[in-house]
Amino acid sequence: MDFSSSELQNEVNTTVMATVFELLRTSITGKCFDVCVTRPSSSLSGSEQQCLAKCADRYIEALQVVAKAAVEYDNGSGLQ
Amino acid sequence: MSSWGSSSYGSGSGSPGSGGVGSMTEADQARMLQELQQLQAQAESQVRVQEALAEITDKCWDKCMGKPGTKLSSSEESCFSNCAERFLETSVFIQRRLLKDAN
Repeated sequence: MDFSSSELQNEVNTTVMATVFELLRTSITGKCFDVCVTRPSSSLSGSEQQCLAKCADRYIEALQVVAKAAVEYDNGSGLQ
Repeated sequence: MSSWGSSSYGSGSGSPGSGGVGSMTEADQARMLQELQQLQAQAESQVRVQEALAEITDKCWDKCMGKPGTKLSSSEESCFSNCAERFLETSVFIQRRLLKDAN
């Protein structure tokens, strides 16, 4: 059996993606629960679900804005 | 991020049909171990970066977001952008301050 570098790299990439996915799920669940489910009842209402859907989408969008700003800061454009 | 060539780890001169790490040459085993360690360090680093970005997004959400709409408004976007920069600047500031206090 031969082990190739690209196979190892693919394995690692898959594991990283799975870890990051779990991480995001936890963060988004925490934040959006606070934002959208202000008075928990016996089930998630339609408006609560709509809010959660929008909230999750906005979070991902915000994360991309943050990532871009962080990269630019790192590259020196924000440093004094 | 380093680019990985198409190196592979061949079987050593073991009996035909025997595969796996055990039949690799020692040199190949050492090389593979080193590569695995590098990949692990890389993976951990990538995850840490994502954790940091999520933390910043969490903090900035409280300062920048009203009720979630169908798209980020341009003021929300610039708030997140500024907030992220200020957060990172704060981190540097605190680090310098702590070093100064220590001396």
